[in-house]
Amino acid sequence: MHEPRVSHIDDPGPLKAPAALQIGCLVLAVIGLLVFLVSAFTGTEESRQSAWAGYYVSVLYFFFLAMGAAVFLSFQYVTSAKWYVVLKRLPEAIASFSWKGGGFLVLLSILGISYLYTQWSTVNPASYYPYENTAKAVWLSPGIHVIKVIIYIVALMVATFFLIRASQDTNGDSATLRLKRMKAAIPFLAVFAFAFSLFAWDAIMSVEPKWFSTMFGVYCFSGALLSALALMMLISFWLQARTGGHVRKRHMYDLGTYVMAFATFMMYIGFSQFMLIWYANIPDETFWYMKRYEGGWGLWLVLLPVLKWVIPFFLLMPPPMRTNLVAQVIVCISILFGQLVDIYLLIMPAYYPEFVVPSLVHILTFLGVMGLFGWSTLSSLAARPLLPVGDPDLLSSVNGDYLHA
Amino acid sequence: MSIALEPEENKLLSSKIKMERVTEEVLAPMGRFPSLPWHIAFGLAQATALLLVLPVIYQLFFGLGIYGINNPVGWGLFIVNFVFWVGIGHAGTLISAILCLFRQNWRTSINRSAEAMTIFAVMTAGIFPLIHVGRTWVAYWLVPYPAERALWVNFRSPLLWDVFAVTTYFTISLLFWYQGLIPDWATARDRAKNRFFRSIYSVLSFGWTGSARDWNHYERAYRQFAFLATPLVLSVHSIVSFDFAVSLIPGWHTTIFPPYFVVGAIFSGFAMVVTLLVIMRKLYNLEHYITMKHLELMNKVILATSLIIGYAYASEFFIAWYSGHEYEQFQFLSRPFGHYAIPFWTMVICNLVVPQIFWSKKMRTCIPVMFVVSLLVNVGMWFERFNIFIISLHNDFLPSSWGLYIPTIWDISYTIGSFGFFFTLFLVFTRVFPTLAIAELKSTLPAPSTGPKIPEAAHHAHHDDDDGSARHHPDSNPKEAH
Repeated sequence: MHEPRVSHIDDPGPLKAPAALQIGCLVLAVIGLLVFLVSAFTGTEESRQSAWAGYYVSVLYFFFLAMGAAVFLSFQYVTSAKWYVVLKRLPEAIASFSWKGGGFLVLLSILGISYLYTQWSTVNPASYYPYENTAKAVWLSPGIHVIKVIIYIVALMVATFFLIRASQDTNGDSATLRLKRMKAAIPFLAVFAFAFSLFAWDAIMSVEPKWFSTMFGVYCFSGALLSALALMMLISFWLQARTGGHVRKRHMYDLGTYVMAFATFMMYIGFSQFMLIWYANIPDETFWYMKRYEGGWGLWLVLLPVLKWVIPFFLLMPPPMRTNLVAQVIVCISILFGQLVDIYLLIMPAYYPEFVVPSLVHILTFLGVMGLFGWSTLSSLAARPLLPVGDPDLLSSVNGDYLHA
Repeated sequence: MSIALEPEENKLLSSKIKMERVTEEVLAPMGRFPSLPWHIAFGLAQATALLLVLPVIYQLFFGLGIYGINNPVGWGLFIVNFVFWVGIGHAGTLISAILCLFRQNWRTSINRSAEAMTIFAVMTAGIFPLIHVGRTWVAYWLVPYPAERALWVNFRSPLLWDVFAVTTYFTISLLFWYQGLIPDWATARDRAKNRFFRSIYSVLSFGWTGSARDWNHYERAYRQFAFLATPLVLSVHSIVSFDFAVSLIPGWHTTIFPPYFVVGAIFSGFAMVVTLLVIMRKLYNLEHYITMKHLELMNKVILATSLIIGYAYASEFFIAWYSGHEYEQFQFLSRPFGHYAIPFWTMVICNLVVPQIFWSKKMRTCIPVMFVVSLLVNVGMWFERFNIFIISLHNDFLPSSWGLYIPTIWDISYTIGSFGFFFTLFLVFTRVFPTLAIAELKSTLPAPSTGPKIPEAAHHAHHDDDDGSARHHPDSNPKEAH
């Protein structure tokens, strides 16, 4: 089936979302964050601990989405790809959350150090560490930690900001723009590789300071990228309807293939990490998985590969399913839910040996961060045309010329 | 956007290629007596391959004692070479399978030779475990089958998984490669000058007629092979890395090993493809087909994978320090500052420093520079394996069981000899096989036009419909889109 070639694309205009939606998002954000702040700074130690843990899960979830979208964009720029151009407002909008709130919310978690890093922030490390008096005790100490997190997060925010700015720039012809974007994407990837991995090790893995895995940075990266792809795919159906058919079946197909590929990548990374630790059976490492397997957590641990790989991979395997709305929506929800379960499992079992059902505070906090995320995404989509009409590669992307070049 | 508007140096295929001459130019080396440079190269390769045969014969009489392997370092250069050669193979499968699924047209000129390289590299790799088992004549015990010995292989051992992984990889790569060859064998058959060659080629081409039905089956099977071969690119070296990473040895047991090994393999494999193609395009006058664009794209892959393994090295060192385990820390200090500091720094310079020259477009499009870099990358990757396998084993947990590993002359002999073996096979390939995928190559050329010159836009609109490269896409295949 051939879709007609187009030689001109009308400006579909920016997103005209009702003001109520944006205000609603902000109201949600304010309510959610107020509930969180009240429960994090008043009440018993247990309820404060619980509030901080839930907050950290929510913030990481949405911050990862933003970073995943930014990485997706930078991949396209580094490889001078053209197919995605018609979709590129979506990753731009999602990634903008990293400096429109997301990064600041992560920075706010510094205030909760004593609740998030219970094993090294307040108590004497010697009582927990088998490695007291080592440099690690200094590396994981509150003062140093604050400085590190500020450096990592600010670096990520700045790099994403310049990446998105280059992405939205349309001054110049194809070759100049390609060079401009390459020059933003390469430093972004360099900053991302180091800042994001170190953030993953120092601020996420260290909730269990005894445990260590070289793969952990890559694991967090693949989760971030996969969930961002799923979210993009979910929104792209709406974009398809909104922009008069310029988002072709081919784009949905390619995005579906992308999701399938990175679901497999996620599975590969997760399996490699698990299998090597399981097989070697060294108590210093296995305890981490045991904590996530016992006490009611096990069901979720087992569900993780199903949500993030089995459902996406097998549902999208037949080519027609890759452009099928129902199949795609199931896959996206499965991945996005799987990512939430994943981050919940990274953080929560560190504090609770028994499974905890998310409390009302957790849910409201999550909705609050989601509100801020929604506001940032909507406001970014409302600021410029939904299709990048000034982009010299847009026609190529719509017509599929890149297939023959 | 369009092929014709690109400047000459950005083109994938030179505009000097004439559709009607493609077959003739590609098949030319098969029909003529080999040139003098080929004879010299072949003679050298054969002589070098002898260095692989000699230690093996010597070993049959005197046992493994002739090699440098000792109690702490039982694996020696055998496994270094094994992993090195399996790694070389990865670029071929990546080019032939993954780039096919990604619709990367630049694979068409290089896939045949890259796949041939894969097959020869895996064959070379397979020799080393066979020597290393010592009693090579019972190497078939590696295969699980019910026998009167009532002795089964250990299915829990990654070494056995390796047997399965490598043999599967070899089988699939060989079939995939051979399938691509079938239409080209038929072309050779139809142009054969005498009956002898015609009968050989007609057997090799399985009675290919070139009918629409044949092509239909061919295309489907090709895609299915591409799907089958894609996971193999990742699985083989992941399982090779399991040989080390499932153990408790410091420096081996680290979770990043599987992807790190895969990327390292692609890195070295692409470097080997560059080495081979730079020579091959010169010897057989294929500069129009294997253009600077191909070489530049491969050099970009080398640069990207170099950065990724740099990330992996850095994370290993960081986590070794972070873990607080004194054995891990000792291991990672002994790499740069221990007995084997020279191999370590060779690796760092060749793998991380040298490829950075490819940031410059001038450098990555310069033949002598890329030739030297591709050789150095493979030196670096060989030493990477040396570092991982030898250094970790020679200093393990108990200082009383430490020991140095010094390769003997025989170890060095078979290491050099393996290159001779590999190049012998590759030189035979360049003589008797169609070295480029003729049919695929033609599909990426602009359609021939004998009539008046068609205006650019109309030409391309027409091009959309019959361009072979679009055939892998749902838009152009109604059966798959619905």
